[in-house]
Amino acid sequence: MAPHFVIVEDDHLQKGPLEDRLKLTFAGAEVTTLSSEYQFREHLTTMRESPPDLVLLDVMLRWTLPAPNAPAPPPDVAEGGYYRAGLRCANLLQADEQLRKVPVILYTILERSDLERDNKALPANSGYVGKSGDVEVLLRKVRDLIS
Amino acid sequence: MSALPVTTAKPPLHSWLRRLSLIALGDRPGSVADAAELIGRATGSGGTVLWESPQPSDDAGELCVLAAWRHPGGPRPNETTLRADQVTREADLRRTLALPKRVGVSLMGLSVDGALPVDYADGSRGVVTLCGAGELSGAAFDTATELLTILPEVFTVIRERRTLALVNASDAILHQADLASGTQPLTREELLDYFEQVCAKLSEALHGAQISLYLRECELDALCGYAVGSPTGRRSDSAAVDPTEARRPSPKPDAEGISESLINGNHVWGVLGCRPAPGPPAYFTHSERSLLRPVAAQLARYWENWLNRRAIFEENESWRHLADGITDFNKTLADALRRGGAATDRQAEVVAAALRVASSVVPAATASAVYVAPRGRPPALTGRGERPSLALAGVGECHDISPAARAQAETAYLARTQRTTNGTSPDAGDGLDSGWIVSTPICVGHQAYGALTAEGPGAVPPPNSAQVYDILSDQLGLYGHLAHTMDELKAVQRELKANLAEQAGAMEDLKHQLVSPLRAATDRTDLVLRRGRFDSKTQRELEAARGLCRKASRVAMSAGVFATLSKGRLPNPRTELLGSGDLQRMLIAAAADCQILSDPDLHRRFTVDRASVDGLGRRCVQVDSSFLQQCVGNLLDNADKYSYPETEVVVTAAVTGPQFAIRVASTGVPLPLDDRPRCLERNWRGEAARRLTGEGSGIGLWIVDHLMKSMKGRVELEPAGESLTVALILPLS
Repeated sequence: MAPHFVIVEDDHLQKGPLEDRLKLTFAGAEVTTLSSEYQFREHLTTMRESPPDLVLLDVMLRWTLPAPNAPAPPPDVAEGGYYRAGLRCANLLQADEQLRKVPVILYTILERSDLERDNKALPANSGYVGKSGDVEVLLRKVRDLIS
Repeated sequence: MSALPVTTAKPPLHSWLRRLSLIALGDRPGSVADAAELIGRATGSGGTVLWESPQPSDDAGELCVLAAWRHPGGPRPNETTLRADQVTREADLRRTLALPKRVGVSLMGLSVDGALPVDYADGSRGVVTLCGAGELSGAAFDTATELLTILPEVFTVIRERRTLALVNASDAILHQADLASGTQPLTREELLDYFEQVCAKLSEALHGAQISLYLRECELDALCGYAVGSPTGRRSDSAAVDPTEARRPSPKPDAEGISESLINGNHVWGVLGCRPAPGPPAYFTHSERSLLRPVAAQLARYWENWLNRRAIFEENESWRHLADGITDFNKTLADALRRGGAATDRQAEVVAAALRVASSVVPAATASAVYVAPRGRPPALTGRGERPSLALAGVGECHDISPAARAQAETAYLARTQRTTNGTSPDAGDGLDSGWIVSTPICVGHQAYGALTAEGPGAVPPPNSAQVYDILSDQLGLYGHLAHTMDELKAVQRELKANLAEQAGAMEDLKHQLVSPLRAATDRTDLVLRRGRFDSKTQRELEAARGLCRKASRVAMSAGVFATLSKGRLPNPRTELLGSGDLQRMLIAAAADCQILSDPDLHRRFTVDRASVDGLGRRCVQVDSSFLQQCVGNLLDNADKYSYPETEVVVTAAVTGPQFAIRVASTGVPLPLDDRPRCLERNWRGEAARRLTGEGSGIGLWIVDHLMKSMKGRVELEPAGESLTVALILPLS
């Protein structure tokens, strides 16, 4: 059965090639791409109905796109800020009864040590892959997790 | 009372009684002499003398003359030379009528007719001697007896009215002193002028007696004599009597004089002395002594009030001086902290300023000094009796300090509490003959820096000196703390600067390493695009790659500018002249890059109004093209980041007078007007931008501002609701 991936990435220059590589590598893969933390939260209901095989999360994520009636961030987002938005999303999945088994890859330019600062471990459902020129590392990790 | 009219028809007794009572109660107060005259006239005598008996305690006392009258036909009696005759003494002794037993007993040159005893209302006794009629008739005796029944009360009223008049006069003089004092108390000399007037009134009431006033300013002081109120009006600063004796004045009235202590509450402030006027012997009767007491009480009360008021005034003055001094001192302190130079020189300057304030505010101090502990060695009680070693500071002011004061400074420094030694204190060391020492630790929190010590003469330190030294020590402690902290901060600052310079250098190096390959990549991509023919998707990908390379070059350049600014330097432009064609190409390339890199799902459009750029005509602008590319690129990046979907970002240009402006207008996240002044600050980001997108570090416009300034241009922001126009304004060359 073809896998279903959810990509959360706010840089359109990155998400397009990534989407293409996943589709190319995993034949028939369905890819849903979200561009902000707000879109991710909105998509949680859909994901509960049909959990994806894997979620690929950028860490530094905008709350929402500029728009005349853009939704205000909830208190935890306003307080936590932009730099660890991906971790917040991973925690939401981990805390969700129906989604906690969905594997997550934190795909970021940040170092792992940055994410684990202050002795905070990554969420139990999450793995880490640093963004680099070589996408193969990511693809191997994806393959491992969905097999 | 004026002399009574001589009448041929003798008035009835009730008339004399009424006249006698009027002497006491009439509108014009009469005197004892008036009473003596009335008794003489009523009894048909040629002369009358009223005596006061000596007190039982006066063993050798004699009868004193209260008043004497002689018929106007004879010579005026000299009261000071009168001595009681045999008949009078007998009446006084036996307390009954005495008649002359032999012819020839005379008084005032008149034969003595008889003498009657009289008991005054205040408990004292006396005698009335009638003379000059040849013999005491029965009618005269009856009249005299009747008049003597009311005479004591009359005398009482006369004396009380006289005392009241004196007290009122004295009170009026002191009231004048109050009025003259105004906002500050009179000087001692001025006050003594008023006391002299009071004494003159007293002297007047006591027949020109010489009045001496002895005063002291505190219980432990010796009395200081002021011979005020004397006929000569001279004042002497030296005690006219033995102060020890004067402290316990004799209560006895005698020919030598009388005195009254100046008592207010439990304090004895001096003595009011009174001697007879020069000349033949005179007397001070008990009734005259009674005049002294209320005046002495008035003077004592006023003197104490004046001392209190002067003390309060002097204390207030010293606080005022302290406030002024502290203001000056703080300026010195701030200068010393701001200025560089050797720490020891600055410290000596601050200490000298503090000692100047101390000597100005507490002038009674004869020596003061500041001892400063060695740096980095806080005082500690070791329990082995070791004393801290204090390095002497404040050279010039400390030469006269006594060993006792220095020792006490060390004790205060160790104990970190103020120590005061009084002249009479058993703590007074060998080095202190008499006088006070106040030693105050200089500390902030638990950190002690030294001690301030001062000494002066007198039994106790000036009233507020302890607080003054406390405040000055606090200021010195504050200086010590600030100086120490500033030294530490300067060391940290030096270290940070060195680190920053090192990091900036590394960043510049990275920029150089990054920009070259990025430019090469840009050029190669550009070349491929120009040479080849591609399908539309490949064309877009190549254009995107070129745009990304240009954007990365801009970011690398931004890092270089950031490093330059962090080192405190300004970017150095390499200017060239650009015409409208050059500017058009630059703006179109920047807009095209932004368009290709913008999220196609958001449908933003980036356009350049070419015609507006043509408005430059043949004129040129002198700019560093890479700087200008950087600025335009940053503005377009911001527009891409904060614009709403489906909006247009328009780049226009305009010539206004001697200036050329490039404007980037967009519609998106609003910029409040109040935020406009802060937009060019480093690391500042608008609340809405922070809340919605979170991206960015707030240095883009800061860098643009500095780059524009380096080219003699400027940045202007023109927000209007959800629209924002950012203008890059350059001078036309």
